[in-house]
Amino acid sequence: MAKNRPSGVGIGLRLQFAEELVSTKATNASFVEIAPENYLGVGGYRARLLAMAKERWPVVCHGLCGDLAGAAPLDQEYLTELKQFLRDADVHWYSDHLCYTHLAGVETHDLIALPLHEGAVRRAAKRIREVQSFLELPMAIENVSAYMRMPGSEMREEDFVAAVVREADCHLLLDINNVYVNSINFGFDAKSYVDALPLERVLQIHIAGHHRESEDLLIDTHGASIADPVYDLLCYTLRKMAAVPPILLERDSNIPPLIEIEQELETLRICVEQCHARA
Amino acid sequence: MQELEQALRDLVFKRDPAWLVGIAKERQLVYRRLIHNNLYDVIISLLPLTYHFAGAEKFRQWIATWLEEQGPKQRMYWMIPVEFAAWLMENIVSENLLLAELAHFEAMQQCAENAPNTHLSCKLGIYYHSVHLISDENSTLPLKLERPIFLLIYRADETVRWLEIEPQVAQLLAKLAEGASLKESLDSLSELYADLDRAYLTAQLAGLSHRGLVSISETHPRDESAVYS
Repeated sequence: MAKNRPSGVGIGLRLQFAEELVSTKATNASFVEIAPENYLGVGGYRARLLAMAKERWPVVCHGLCGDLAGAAPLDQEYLTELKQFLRDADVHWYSDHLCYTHLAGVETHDLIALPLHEGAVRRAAKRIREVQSFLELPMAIENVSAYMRMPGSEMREEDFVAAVVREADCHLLLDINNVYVNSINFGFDAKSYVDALPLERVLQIHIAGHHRESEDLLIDTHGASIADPVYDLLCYTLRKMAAVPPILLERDSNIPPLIEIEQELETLRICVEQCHARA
Repeated sequence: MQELEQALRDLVFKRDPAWLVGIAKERQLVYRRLIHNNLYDVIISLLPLTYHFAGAEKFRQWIATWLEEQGPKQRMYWMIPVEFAAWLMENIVSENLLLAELAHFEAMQQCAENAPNTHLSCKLGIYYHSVHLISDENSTLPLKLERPIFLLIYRADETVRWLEIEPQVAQLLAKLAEGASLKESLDSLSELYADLDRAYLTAQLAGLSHRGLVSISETHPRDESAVYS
């Protein structure tokens, strides 16, 4: 039987603090997120941590290497293993990124923006439908940070994301920091971007810190505290939504002591409450 | 789309990047830098001793060549250094056998650490240097051994350990790992060793099995050993 649906604010389960997190009595995290690519088929220490996390919280699974618009055929063997893993994790949905992760035979272990055109919409939507159908789970796709527009791009990014969600009949994992990062990197208005999205399809929100490399270039590092403009954009978004989806704090590099992460979760929780109360 | 993926691969992984036309190089470099840094970080963190003894410059050159020629094929993040170590074994073994073996030993420790609980964690390595005695960056690099050593690398109580085994036991494990039954494996070894003591080898194997390091079955031979020689 499936556990309670994730809600409130959660944190990505990182090995750097996982042991401490699963052992601590009081935490502000009400769910945890893991990447199957770090746990699938893995035993020993990691498996024990995951088992302890599953005992305590609802777990959400967020893929890193789905290659949801790539040219390579879907890897059925991997999807079969993933399906079983997701069943064992008792998840309510599965999410991955709307981007390339695989380039002509090589796993990049990174997220590479897609060309923004109708052909890419159709390709991504077809693959997402196939994956969603195979996994027999609702699927949410995440808008990714980007540093250049790919050749052939002819759509606004928000229209591209909305079109894929519509055509794939899937959900959206809205990464607020990525919207903000891209708004600086490409000079668009972040709130207008949010306005154009199908917010009723948002199943989960991601939020994180970034690094300012120059006046017009931000890097999505997940290695700093959430910046004020990103909090503002989160608040703007939540006020437009009927209900608050689960919100995940991503902290993947430059990881501070757990106590600081707990403080940021608390700040985030209060911000969410206040924003929605004012809606 | 396929052409774009190939162009992006050439941009990211070629040592001399193939720049995309009409896009600021500064922005293209961001992808190249982020992807390289991520991959370098995980490889260096999981093969720390090989990195230390090879030296940063040489090690980074190896990674760059690996990325250009092959790159990661698997999705699991912890497999990146394992794949790289396998490439090193093939590509630098004649140039620097010691470092190739050290990379292999570190990679096998990763495999043992992460092996699924439903399978045995045991890996087999055959080394011409005592790489298992290099405990930290202050260790003295070993000289080449007169005879190879055979190590079982395994996980017990979430800790990775190793056990030196006899050559014939290692050969027997290798045969089993190839899918042969115990009888077939012993028969095969008998052709190599006229005085093969089948009872002794079987007892040795049973001892390893009793310790939970290997699984012996006529019908379901273990398939978990990663072997090189």
